[in-house]
Amino acid sequence: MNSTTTTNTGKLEEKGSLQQYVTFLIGGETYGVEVLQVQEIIGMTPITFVPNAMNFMKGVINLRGTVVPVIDMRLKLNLDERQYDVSTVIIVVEVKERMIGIIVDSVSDVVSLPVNSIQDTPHFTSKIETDFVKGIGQIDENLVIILDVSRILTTAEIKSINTSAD
Amino acid sequence: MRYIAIIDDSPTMRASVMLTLKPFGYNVLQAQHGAEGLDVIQKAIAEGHEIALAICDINMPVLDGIGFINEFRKFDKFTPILVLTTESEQATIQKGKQAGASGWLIKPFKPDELIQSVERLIR
Amino acid sequence: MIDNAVRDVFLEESKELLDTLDSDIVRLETSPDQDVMNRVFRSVHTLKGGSGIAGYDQVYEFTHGLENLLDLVRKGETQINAAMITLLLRSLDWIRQAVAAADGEECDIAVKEALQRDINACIGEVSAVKAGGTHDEKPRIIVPGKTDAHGNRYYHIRCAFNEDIFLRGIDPLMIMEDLRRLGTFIQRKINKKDVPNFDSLDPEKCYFSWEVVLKTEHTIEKVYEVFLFVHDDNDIVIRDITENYDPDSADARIAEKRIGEILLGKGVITENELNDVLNEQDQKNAKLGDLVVSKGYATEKDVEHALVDQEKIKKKIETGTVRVDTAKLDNLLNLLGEIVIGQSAISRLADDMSEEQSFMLKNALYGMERTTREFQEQLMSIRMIPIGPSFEQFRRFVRDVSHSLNKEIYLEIEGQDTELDKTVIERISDPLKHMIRNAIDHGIESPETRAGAGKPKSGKITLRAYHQEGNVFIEVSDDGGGIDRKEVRAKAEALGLVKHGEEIADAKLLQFLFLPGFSTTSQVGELSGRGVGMDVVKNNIESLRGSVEIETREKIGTTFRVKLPLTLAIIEGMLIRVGKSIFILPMLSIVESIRPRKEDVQTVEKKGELIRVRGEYAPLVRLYEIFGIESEHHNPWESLVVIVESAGVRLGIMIDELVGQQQIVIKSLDTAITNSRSVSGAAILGNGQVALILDVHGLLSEIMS
Repeated sequence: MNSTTTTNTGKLEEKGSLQQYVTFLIGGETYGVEVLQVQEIIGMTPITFVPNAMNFMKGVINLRGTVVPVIDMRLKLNLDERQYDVSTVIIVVEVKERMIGIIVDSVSDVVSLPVNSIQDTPHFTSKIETDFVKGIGQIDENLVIILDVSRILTTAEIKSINTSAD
Repeated sequence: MRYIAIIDDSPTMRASVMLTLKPFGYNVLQAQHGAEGLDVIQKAIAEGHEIALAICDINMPVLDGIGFINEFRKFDKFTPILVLTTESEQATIQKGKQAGASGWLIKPFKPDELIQSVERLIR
Repeated sequence: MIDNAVRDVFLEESKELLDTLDSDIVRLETSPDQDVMNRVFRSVHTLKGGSGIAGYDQVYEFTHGLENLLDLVRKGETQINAAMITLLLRSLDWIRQAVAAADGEECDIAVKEALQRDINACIGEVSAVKAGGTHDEKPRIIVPGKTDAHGNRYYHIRCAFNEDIFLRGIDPLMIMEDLRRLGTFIQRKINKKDVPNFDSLDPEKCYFSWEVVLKTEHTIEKVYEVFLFVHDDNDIVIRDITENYDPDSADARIAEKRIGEILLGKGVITENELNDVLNEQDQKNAKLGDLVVSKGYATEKDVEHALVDQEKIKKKIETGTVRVDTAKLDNLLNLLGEIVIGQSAISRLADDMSEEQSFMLKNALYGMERTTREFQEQLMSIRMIPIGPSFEQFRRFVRDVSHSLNKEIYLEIEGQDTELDKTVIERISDPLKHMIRNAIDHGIESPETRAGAGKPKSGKITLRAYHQEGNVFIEVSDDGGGIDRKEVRAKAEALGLVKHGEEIADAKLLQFLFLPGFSTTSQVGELSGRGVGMDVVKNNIESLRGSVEIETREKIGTTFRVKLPLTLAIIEGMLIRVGKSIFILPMLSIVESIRPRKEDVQTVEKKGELIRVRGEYAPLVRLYEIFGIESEHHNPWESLVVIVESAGVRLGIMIDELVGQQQIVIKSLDTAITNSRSVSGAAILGNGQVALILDVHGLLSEIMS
């Protein structure tokens, strides 16, 4: 992915290799996660508070008998918290056989993007930690920030939870 | 469905027999020793099933193979019994036969050897 | 696919067998017991069979040698000694390693060969003493035999079956059919002359004999195979008569003669004669202790044993068993959990109905709840297994560790039939190991010290399990020198845990040993190391909702007593409300709930708030402060206080309301969500919401720190 030409030929060759993404909005920006990782999308539901958790960990919910942790993506992205409303949804993703709920402002669409069109992320903004951003895609004029959900809860954070408790 | 009982204290042996015979349309009953074998077989009979063959180990806890054969022959004279034995137990084959065993198979055996022995005794 | 499945079963089985062998072999060292010896032999025998079937060729070959050695031992032809015990244990280690390796190839061949040399040496010694006890299996001479120009062979086969052949479950007709499948019968004669008159005819007997000439492409071996199960005790004569059909074959006559000799040999010996010979041989073996046909003799012994057992069994034939994957049980339990949740949801609906309807529905529900409770108990009992095997595996461990420390220690096991949840047993193993190691290392004194103190030179460690009041207790006791309280106190003072001269309860003082790093920094001889890993032990036990306490008496010994719940999955819980949040307290830890008066609450400097209950003071916990949530009341005398207890320590928890008692299915919470020690898990309530289960012990340690 070092030049536009390869990207273009890549597009031609790999026309069949499309990846579907669920896109959603947080603070006006469009984000996406691979559709295969999404278990389901549910409306806001009562969240049970959990003590001694990271600030973005809002608590746990009951998803048909399974206790699933939910995180507020706004807090994770260092954005201001916002009152949950009718368009707020929880996207339930599966990471390493565990389910995690992600609270986002609203769901936008399911789009198909050629795999090759996803570009690596330079440190494009200091505001967002890039370790859980997989790359940047483009739909028409708009950029889509593709998230790597498996990195949303990083080991560093799990460790920091552990140490902060002691 | 034809029933075959495997009586062996080794789960590995039972699994191997069960997995080998199942594709051939046999329903395999399992027991870990002679006494349990008798029980399992009598239950199956009580439920109206017919036991086509009993496969049993010799060296087992609680009730060993010879004891099992003796007991089994008290209520079933004709159903064949295949004895599983090792090359170090040759002499027991005779004892097994005296008790009423029909045939034997030396452990360890390959799946097709088992099938051959089974088919030698039942159709 | 079959292979993999069999392998998986073998992996499991071999683990069990090896663990049993470990403890049995160690036991043999101290008390040679024929039953244990026989079990050891049988386990190795089973291991051999299993490894052969599962395709672990290296293990198969290895266990074969091991079996031979053990056979000599169990027949009393060689004495077991310490060196042999060590050899056996090392052999088990190798097998364990070989089984664990992806396939036999990856295991350490050099180690194996060294062990095999030692094993052979042991066997050789015995054989040398016994000299001349070898037995040669008569090689069967089989000459392929010629064929005619078309590749056919001709056999004349005469088979006269024993009258009682049916009673061995063999159908001669089936054998004849097998024979026919090999080729074609060009001659066939059925001999009926032995058939008696109809009135004396026994339908259970076989009176026929056959004489056939078989034309086939197969060798005589193949023909023999048909008679495999019958040829040595029935009158079966097979002659290769190809020569008659193919005059060119000159060598045929010689071959035929040899074969004829063997057949004659086989044919001459009737079943009875053969058995006589065998019996005689067996008896000789018993006297001379001949090695070779030994299996038979030993089995006869087993038969005698079995006959005795048989009488017992006739009275109480064991009920049939099935092996079930524990994952399936867990699923069942989860489903039952859903039913329990559903029931409480219905119960909530009933609250909104008219009184009459509500009463009727609740009555019906009550009956159903009783059934589910019983269902749950039955289900839990399936998960309960005796702790014995888990204890047994420590025999080897105690031997190894004590030898390495030059101590003599005997492990005593009590209450091996005590049953507890499989998961608990699995997870308690490591903490127990730690405690046992500690007892060996620091509890039991050196033989010299013991002798000096007038104690027996060898120490004793006792593992004990028992049930009491809905809990399981596991104790690790040693008869060592006990823990020096003065040293513990000095250490605690040095660390500022207790003031000089301050009174402190014994139990509390000893609990310091479980603090992380309490004794690792200490240089005071005997005490140092006492605390190594003990904080880990305590954490592990607490994660099982258990607790641990120490009892120690100078010069007499120390006991670590672990208290564990019977089961992990479902508990009786009390729902409590603080503000808008619902929490669950395990019923077992609740003592009472009170409405305190203002004067019952006191604030003591550096100890925080205390509440007086029946003349005693307990720390007061404001959940809303710890968790940073809302609460209706902020004064203890306006709210309810639930008194809870853990490990003998009481605690008052301020709450707004007691909501009600309910069965709770515990769902674990990932450490990624929280690792708050105050929360032990979560549960789903009747309204579908998640509630957190409070960990009383954790709350205690949180407010202490």
